[in-house]
Amino acid sequence: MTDADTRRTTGQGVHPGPHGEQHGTVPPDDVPTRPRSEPRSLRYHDLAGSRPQPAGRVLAIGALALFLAALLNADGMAELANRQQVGWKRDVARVAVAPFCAVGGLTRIKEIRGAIRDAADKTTQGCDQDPSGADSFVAPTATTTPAEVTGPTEPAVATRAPTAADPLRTWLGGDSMTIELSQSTEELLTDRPEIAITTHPQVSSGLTRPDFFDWPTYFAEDVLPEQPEAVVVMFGANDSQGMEIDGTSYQPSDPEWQEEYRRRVGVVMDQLRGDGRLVLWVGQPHMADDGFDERMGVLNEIYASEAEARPWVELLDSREVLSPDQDGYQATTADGESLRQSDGVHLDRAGAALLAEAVVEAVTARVVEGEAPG
Amino acid sequence: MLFPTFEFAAFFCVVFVVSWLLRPHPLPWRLFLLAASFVFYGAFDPAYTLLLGASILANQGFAKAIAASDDERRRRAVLAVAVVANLGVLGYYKYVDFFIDSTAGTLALIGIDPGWVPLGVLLPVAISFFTFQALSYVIDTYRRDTEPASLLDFAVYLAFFPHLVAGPIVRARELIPQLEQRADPRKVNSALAFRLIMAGLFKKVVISSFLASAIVDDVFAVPEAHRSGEILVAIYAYAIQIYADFSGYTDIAIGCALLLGLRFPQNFDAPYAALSVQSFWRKWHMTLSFWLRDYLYIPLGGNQGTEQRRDLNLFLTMLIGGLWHGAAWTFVVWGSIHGAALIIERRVTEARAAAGKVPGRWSPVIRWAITFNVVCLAWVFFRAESFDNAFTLLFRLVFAPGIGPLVTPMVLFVIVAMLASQFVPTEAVNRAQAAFSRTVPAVQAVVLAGCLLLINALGPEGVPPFIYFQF
Repeated sequence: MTDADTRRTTGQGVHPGPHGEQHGTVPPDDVPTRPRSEPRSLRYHDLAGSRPQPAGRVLAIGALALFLAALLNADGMAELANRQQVGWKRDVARVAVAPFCAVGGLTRIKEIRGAIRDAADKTTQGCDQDPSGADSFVAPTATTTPAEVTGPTEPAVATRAPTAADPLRTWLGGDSMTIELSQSTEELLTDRPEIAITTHPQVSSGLTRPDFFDWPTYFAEDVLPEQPEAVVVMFGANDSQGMEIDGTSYQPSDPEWQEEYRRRVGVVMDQLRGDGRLVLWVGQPHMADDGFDERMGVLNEIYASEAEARPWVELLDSREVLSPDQDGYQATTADGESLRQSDGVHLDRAGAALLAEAVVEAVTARVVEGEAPG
Repeated sequence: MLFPTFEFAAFFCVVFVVSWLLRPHPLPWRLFLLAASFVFYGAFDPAYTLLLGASILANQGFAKAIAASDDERRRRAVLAVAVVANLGVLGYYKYVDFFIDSTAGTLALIGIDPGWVPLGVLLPVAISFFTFQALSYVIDTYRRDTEPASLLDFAVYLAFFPHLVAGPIVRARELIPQLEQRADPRKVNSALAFRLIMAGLFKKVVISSFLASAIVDDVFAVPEAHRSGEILVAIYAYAIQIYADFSGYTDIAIGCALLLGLRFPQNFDAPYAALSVQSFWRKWHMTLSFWLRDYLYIPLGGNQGTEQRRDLNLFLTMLIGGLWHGAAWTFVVWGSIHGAALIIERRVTEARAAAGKVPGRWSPVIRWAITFNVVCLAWVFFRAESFDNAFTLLFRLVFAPGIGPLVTPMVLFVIVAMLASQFVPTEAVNRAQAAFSRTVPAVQAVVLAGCLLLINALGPEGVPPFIYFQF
């Protein structure tokens, strides 16, 4: 530290500058700390013994800190880069992160983050993650083919009368559209002990980006072992984005994209099939934005045709439920209750309540009352 | 553009370098800050910049017109137009749907169906904050507390990106003189700035997100599914969550401005250490409290007049303050609880003083406990989606005994640790900050990198939107 620095630090011999420098250190008692007119609210910024630094040094400290943090957080940055939409921005982000992954891995400095996340019971993917994740959508093996599970004469969906002691095991999940839906369904079922429900809304998830959240693996490891009798899923709102197929990027308007999406929908429908289990697939409602609404319409057609080929899958048309009074997007009910959130996409309380009723009704009709799909 | 993102980090690095390079040149420096602020705001939605631009031009016009006239009636008329225009725009975006909804609901009760449906108006980000700042500028000019600045200075003041989105609410007389002074580039109070930014990021990204996902969101969404233990802890957790979220964001704002050589007023001062509701409001969102005091409570009559009149002024101030936070009746109840608490507190304090009662040994503990729990009770209405939701929560808090699985040791630890942090003496924090500032630059960089590592490693996968944006 130079003498000048020492003087600045202690405030000795350095008077406030001609421009009313406010960040000078504690001045001698006989020198006013600041202009009399200065608002009291700014006294918070007294240096209180801290040493001010030149802007250039602050920049150097900040730059070095960001560089070190980038090495330490290489996995986190890689996750963030991989999570971008498929396209040039993600490619650029991944190229930018690669050197930090390489150096962080070589020096093993990035392992500190992994240790912290392990201790906090959080997963780490990061630099080693497969960015496409397409391999998750593998058709179920022959042991689970329809014929062997139910036989030719048994109904695709088993029926029974559940009781509070032996409730119907129901699972509901999907993307952020299911946040409100889950809550409303749980609310609706609080006085229906004969239906037990487990929910898992996963924000930003879907079927196009298993690299972000791998639904097939989640179903296999966390959902199917619990042997739910009815599974309710809702995907699509995040799915209208680029998809990487065998290293090539495709957009939702490409036939290759639609073919691959159809395949994935089919794989999930087959994977969820179980011994008499109902799979209730909730289609996408109308969206406020016309272009987005049109893209969701394309997905709905895929869901409908894939469901039709599978008797254990029933499609719930949420457009009818959430647009009860008009053909197209409907924000509120006739009574002014909000069906959808202000983003024109997500469900609001009244909308979620309507859809929850429709879900419970569909599950009850099919599983408990044994009605044929409508 | 949100603060805790890579986009903002990159944006701020560029602004930091260019701002200090241009600092010796007042005009280019101001123009650059203005342009940077518009880029920042336009990143939310380019159309918003038109609204901000219009607010700048209109309010500068009002202030100039007021300052140019000695005719009191004319000055008052211009002020009235300014207030109506500012509140009219804010009211349209913020309250039109609330008004339609409430009126249609009331008419429906008496059998009239006006056929009104909400317009679905989207509230532009930051409009509440810049409207309040613009109003303070025009009213201060009217009161002759401040002189109108140049159009460019006023524009920089109103649009300055660190405070634009969620405060603090900076007064013209706090910031504009700083634009005219030339800050010394050799003396940046970086230790305080770094402390504020790191603490702010930690509170916002780690603490707030953790409590929201661990307990708060679930319990407030479906109170029917939870027992009293979970509900009680969720209410306390929400008190910590909103403090961590909001104070975290304004800490980052103050720190960023400080790195650019500009000082903002303090916005939070350990509010949960308050021993009275009045003290709470001197420590919580301080710039809003002082704004409401100066531009609402005092014009209503303040402490003047009868006791009843004084109580009414206080109650109305808190009621309107509540409505400013959100266009819903739950916010009105939130404001009313605080208004009623302040009135009762003042009456009790005065009565005890008149009776010559001396505070007992345990008085601070009791007063702290009452204050904190009153504040938490009010938060229930602030957070709840509806009255039904709030009352179900409070009902089950009492009549659904049990603990529930969401009450985990980690949730309890975070709540207790955050409450304990409110009682750490300022001197201790200042000493640590001073010690940090005296270490060599490389050590400072390592410490900061360590903080960023912790924040990134302990944070959630994605940063949720900031609670206060829509306010």
